[in-house]
Parts: sequence; C-alpha cells; structure tokens
Amino acid sequence: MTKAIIALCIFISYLPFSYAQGLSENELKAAFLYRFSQFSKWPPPPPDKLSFCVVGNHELYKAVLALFDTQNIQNSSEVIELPSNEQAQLCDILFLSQQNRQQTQYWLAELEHQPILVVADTSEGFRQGAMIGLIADANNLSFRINLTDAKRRGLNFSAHLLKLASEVR
Amino acid sequence: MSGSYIALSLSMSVFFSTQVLSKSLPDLEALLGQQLNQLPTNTQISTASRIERSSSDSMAITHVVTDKDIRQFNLQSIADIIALFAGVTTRDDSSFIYVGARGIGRPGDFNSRFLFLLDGTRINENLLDAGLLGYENFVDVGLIERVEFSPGASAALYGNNALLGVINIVTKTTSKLRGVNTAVSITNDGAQHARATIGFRSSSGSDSWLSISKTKINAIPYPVLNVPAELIKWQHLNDDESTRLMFSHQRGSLQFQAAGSKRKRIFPDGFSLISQATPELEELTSEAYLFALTFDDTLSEDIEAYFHISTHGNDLERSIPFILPNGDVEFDRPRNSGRWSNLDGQLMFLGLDSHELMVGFDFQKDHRQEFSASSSIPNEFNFEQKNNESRYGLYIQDLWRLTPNLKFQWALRYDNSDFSSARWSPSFSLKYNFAEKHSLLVRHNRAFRVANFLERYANTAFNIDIPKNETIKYNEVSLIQKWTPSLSSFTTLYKANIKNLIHEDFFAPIYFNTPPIRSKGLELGIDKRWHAGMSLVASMAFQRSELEGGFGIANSPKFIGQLRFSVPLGASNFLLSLHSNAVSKRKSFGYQLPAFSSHDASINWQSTNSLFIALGVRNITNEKILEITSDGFIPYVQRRRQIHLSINWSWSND
Repeated sequence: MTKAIIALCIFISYLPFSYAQGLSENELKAAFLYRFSQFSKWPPPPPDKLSFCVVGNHELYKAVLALFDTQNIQNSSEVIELPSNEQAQLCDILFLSQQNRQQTQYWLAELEHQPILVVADTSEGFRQGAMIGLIADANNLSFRINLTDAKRRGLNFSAHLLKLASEVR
Repeated sequence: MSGSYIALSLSMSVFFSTQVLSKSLPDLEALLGQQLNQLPTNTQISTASRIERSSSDSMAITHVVTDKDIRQFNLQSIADIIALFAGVTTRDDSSFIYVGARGIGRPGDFNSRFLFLLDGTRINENLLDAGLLGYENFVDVGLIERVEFSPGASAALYGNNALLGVINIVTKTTSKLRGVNTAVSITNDGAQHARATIGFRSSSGSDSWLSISKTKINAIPYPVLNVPAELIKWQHLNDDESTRLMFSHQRGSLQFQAAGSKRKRIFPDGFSLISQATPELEELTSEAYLFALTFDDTLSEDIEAYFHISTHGNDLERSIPFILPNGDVEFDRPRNSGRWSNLDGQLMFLGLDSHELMVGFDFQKDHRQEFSASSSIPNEFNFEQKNNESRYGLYIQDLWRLTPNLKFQWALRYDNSDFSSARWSPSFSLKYNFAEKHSLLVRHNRAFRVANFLERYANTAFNIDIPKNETIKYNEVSLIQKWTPSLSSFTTLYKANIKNLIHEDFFAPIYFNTPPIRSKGLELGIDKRWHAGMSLVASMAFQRSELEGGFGIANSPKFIGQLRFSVPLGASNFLLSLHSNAVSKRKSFGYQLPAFSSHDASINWQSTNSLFIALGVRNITNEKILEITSDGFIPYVQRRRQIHLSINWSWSND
C-alpha cells in the first residue's frame, strides 16, 4: 500500500501541468491583455511602443506593470493608469474595468473611429462599444469579440484569437 | 521507514510543482482553461432580468452551474445539474424526472411550476406545461456552457409558469466545440452514452456546430421495492434508449438553432404475467423538436433589441398491452401531441440618465393541443380531444439607479389567453449596498399558472368547472456578501402566499384548487476558493409549507443541504470532486419518506484541452432513497450506487 502511494505521488509529480493555479483575477486579466495585443493588428504605421491604458482598477494596473517586468518587454510596451479621458487617444489598448454605463460613455466619447483596442470586463461594457469583452464566469475568464466594430476602427484580429473567442459579432 | 518515503515523495511533488509554476506566460488557450482562485468581481447573468447583466447589477440571486462543474461532477442529465442548486430536490420514477423547490414539489405536476429556457427560448411543452429534464430533453449536457437558476416568482417578466423559479440552459459555442469533439461514458449498471460534435468558425466569425448523441440503458433495475421474483427475471427487457440531435449557426446578430430528440422507454408489463408465461412490453416514446431564430444587437447608442421566433413540437405516445378474455393481446395507445410557435421581442432604452428601461412582448400560438387514444379494435377507451390557443404577454421593466449604492427595479406584465382571465403581475426590487461588496436585496414578486390543457380538458370531460389560475406572492429579503476576494455568501428569507394551487383529485382524474398555502423559508450558501484551485460551494435550505389550518403538504422536506468540494491532487492534472446532498424526512400521501444523505466522488484527469477522463461513484454508501413522484402512491427508489467512467476527447487542426 505504502509503495502504491509513493508511486502515485511520483507519477502525479511528473504529469503535465495545466499551469498556474496561482494567478489572481487581475493577474489573469493582465495576461489576457498582453496576449490580445499579440494577436491584434493596428492600421499602418504600426505603433513603435504599445501603450496599455488601464481605467478603474489600480490592482490591474499593477498586475500589467509586473507582467511587463517579468516578460521583460518594457522597451516595446508601456502601461498607463488613466485618471481622465484627455489622454485616452494616446492609448493603443484601453482596458475599462468595472465601469458603469455613464463612465463607459465618458471614456469612449473621444474615441469614435480611433484605432484603439478597447477591452471591457463587463457584458454591459462590451455591448456598449468595447471590441473585446473579457468576462468571468464562476470558474474561468472567457472573451467575446466585436469584429464589425474593430474593423470599422481599422483593427484586425488573428484567426487564432477569433477561434478562441466565445462569441464573435 | 514507510513514513519517510511518503514524506520524500510528497516533497518531490511540491518541488516539481514549484518548478513548473515559474515557467513562462501561458498561451491564450491555457489562460482560458485557468481556474480562478478567487471569486470573480462580476459574472454575467441573464435569467434574473431577462437581459444579460453583470452579477453586481442583478436584482435577484441567481445560482449558476458551469460546464466545468458538469464535467467535474460527471453530470449526465439536466436533472443532475438542477439537483446541485440550493434548495432544489429531484424525483425520478424512471420515466419522468420531477423537480421541487421552496417547499413545493407537487406530485405529478410535470415541473409546470418552473419555467425552462434554452438560450432564452421558452421550452416548457404546451399540453401540461411540462419541463423535460431527463433523456427526452434535446440538449446533451456536453453542449451546455452553464445553467442559471433564479429561484422564486418571476411572472412580471416571464408570465405563466415562472412560480418557483426560472431555469435557463445556455449552450456552448465553437470556442469549446471546434473541430471534432467526442464523449463516451459507461456505468456499472448498464448505461452507455456517446456524443460526437463537429464545430467550425469561419474567418468572418460565423459559428456553426452540429451534435448527435445517443444514450442506452439496458436492464434497468426496477425502481420500486418488493418486485416479484417472476418479474425480476424479465429485468433485461427494461430498457431506455434516446437520441439527440442539435445544430447551431450564429452570424453577427443572428442565431439559428435546431434541435430534436427521441426517447423510447421499454418495460415488461407485470399484469400480462398473470395470464401468460412471458410479459408483453409496454413502450413510452417521446419525440421533441425545436427551430429557433434569434436577433440580438444594438440598434443605436441608446437602444438594444432582441427578437425571437421559434416553432416547437412534442409528442408522447404510450403503447399499453392488455390481455383480452380470449387470451389475445391488445394495445391501447394514448397519445399527447403538441405543436406551438413563439414570437418574442424586447427593446431596451438606455438614453435616460440612471434608468434602464425595457419593454417587451411574448406571443405563443398553440397550433395543436391533442390528446387521443386508439387501439386496433374500436373500444370505449378511444377518444380524441383537439384544441388550439393563443396566449400573449406585454411587459415593462425599469432599473432606476437612485444613488451609486441604491437601485430600484420595478416591472409590470399583462397576460391574457383564449382560455384564462387576464392577469397583471407586478414586481418590486430594492438593492442597497450598505458596505463595499455587501448588499441588501428586498423583493416583492408574483407569479401565476393558468390551468393547462390537461387540467382544462379533464374537468370539462367531467362537467366540472376549470380550476382557477393558481397564484403566488413572494416577499423576500436577501443579503449578498463578499467577505474576502475568495469568500462570498448569500442569505435569503422568504415568505409566500399561494392561492388556488391546482391539484389532481385522489379518486377521479379531475383537478381542483387547494385551500391557501403559506410557505416560508431560509436559504443560505457560501462559495469559498483557495489559492491552489481548491473550492467549496455549500448551501442549506430550511422551508415549511402548510395548507391553511396547519396541514403539511406532500413532498415538502424541511431541510435540504448541498455541498460541493474540489481539490487538485498535487501539481498534476488530477482533480478530486466530492458532492454531498442531504434531505430531511418528508410526507407524501400518508407515506413517511425517510431522511437521507448521499455522497458522490469523482476523480478527473485533464491532458491539456484535448482529453478529459472522469471516474466516479455516485451514492457511495448506497443509501436507500425513496420518493413519491405522482399520485400512484408508489415510492420509487432513487439514485442507487453507480460507478461511472467518462472520456471526452477533442481534436482541432489549429
């Protein structure tokens, strides 16, 4: 019996690992955000340095900052925590976190037709104009894509991103 | 010595898991499979408000079982999923599965006091308003993304049947069904299930999948006590066979769905053994289909629209043998046949500051409501009763954000139909965030159920008045609290007045309204996550429902407890899941049904996203569980011990 338990423990240790039972919700959102940037294409000329802007979630801002540090991509990307919408046009990716309707309207007001990838983490934010909705269920995060709106702004997504989206509109 | 070896091997497990944790950022696919080790800030819920909303904005408590739960606990039917919800019990007589909640589980009600939706489409059939939860339902559980349950009355939004709760089944898209997706499962008691799904998403984003599944259960143990030995030897003829087909195509704002199912239940007829050596076979065949087209989009900055049109069919035919005095065998064939179409629409106006205003309509045309019976020789049992009907409802709902911490929602609905009086159903909900992530919810809701075609037809045949509409008024207070990022709880205290509950008479196939029923209860639940992927979901429901005068009602347990626990085993892809369910004793037609607690365990292993294996045992202790499902006064044995093995495999060329 003892040998069987030992064998089982060693066997389990070597089995393929499904990664990370250790990321918080914001760390996971930061990782998604980074991956979204890799599978998105901005209209020419491509930005020299991708600007990730975060609204309404300081913990997410810190998580993106930490991710850039661990991935060593500070030279090609920067993260900005936006206090107001005046700088929103400087963003390449704008993450609107837990914003209500009025707040979302405020942030999107000056961005009509701008090639800015807007990501929201509520279904309301997605319906209101975000190109990607990064939305949680009880166990996981999944994302939806508004391809029509993205194309209208000159943005495009890779086929891989479109395949993994839970819904494409 | 052996202790040292175990300590060494456990240390190695921890060491290797730490090594793997520090590797580079996972790819997108791995991120999607990542289990949250905290409770999400917000999830999306559509059942409570009939529109997709963030859970923090929801004006009702909604319980959710996800596809991950379905796989982890190896759930086989919609009934298995519903049985996980707080305060819900299910009862199975091996031909039909009944559900009860909030102290009401009327024998033989065919679940007509719950409203069932498939991706927002009403799927209660149109003869008994029945909700189909077993293998006759056309959704294979492998296609389900999540099931939402919003307990309590919801007539102000949904109209007829939404008395005890609304259950919405949300299906997957090709994000989880792309390529080829297969599942097979077997159990030690003869159940075999197989599903094959193919899914495709085009470069423009249009999404299509087609699924077929088949379930066979051979030699089903008779679900009753004290089966005579001469009948047991024919148990190998006791079979259940079902096939389900479903198709979905979504492009932009439009979605088309088609689904069909056929179930054949065959069992040896015990009465025929009285006069002959081999039993005749009784057959129960049910067939159902659905075609639905849905439009869901934003029309302008301030207007969102939803339109839906669908057509449905449901047939149930029994073939009952009886032996004529001369020894010949004759078959009586009662048949229920329903055909109906739904047209629903909804507009959401968001242009008013602090308001979300929604108006909508539902229209149902019952093209066919038909009961008939025939045998090959004309006899007095032959009959045919046909009908058609129109029912409609108009509703309005407004969510008013009075302050950042105070919301008020009101709704009002008008319903009418050819065979019932008009009804107004209001509802009021107030939500106050008294501290960050702690809210108080106060609700008043009403619901009604119109006598269905069976109840109307039966009473008309006996020249008795059709039963009045049954009504329910709920007053509820709930606390929804998130104590830490990984611990949340809910508490609901409710009181209900039920009038004119429609009930079948014991002595004749007619229906009458019961005296008023008072119902009250307390529902509690917690959801806890731990850092390593461990999770616990537990709930308790205390309830009491009594007829005026203090008489208890049938199938109304005073306590229902649920517990779900999952823990990853080491750093592997193994996961251990445990489920316990406890129900207190309850009475039904004079029977005292004993309290029970049953426990299930399952070990799952997942290799990346392509292979998933689950091995488990249900009702580990083989607890004897008895339930009475109808007025046949027969206690049925539920959920005997079962060992099950499931394998899911998918292949995609990306």
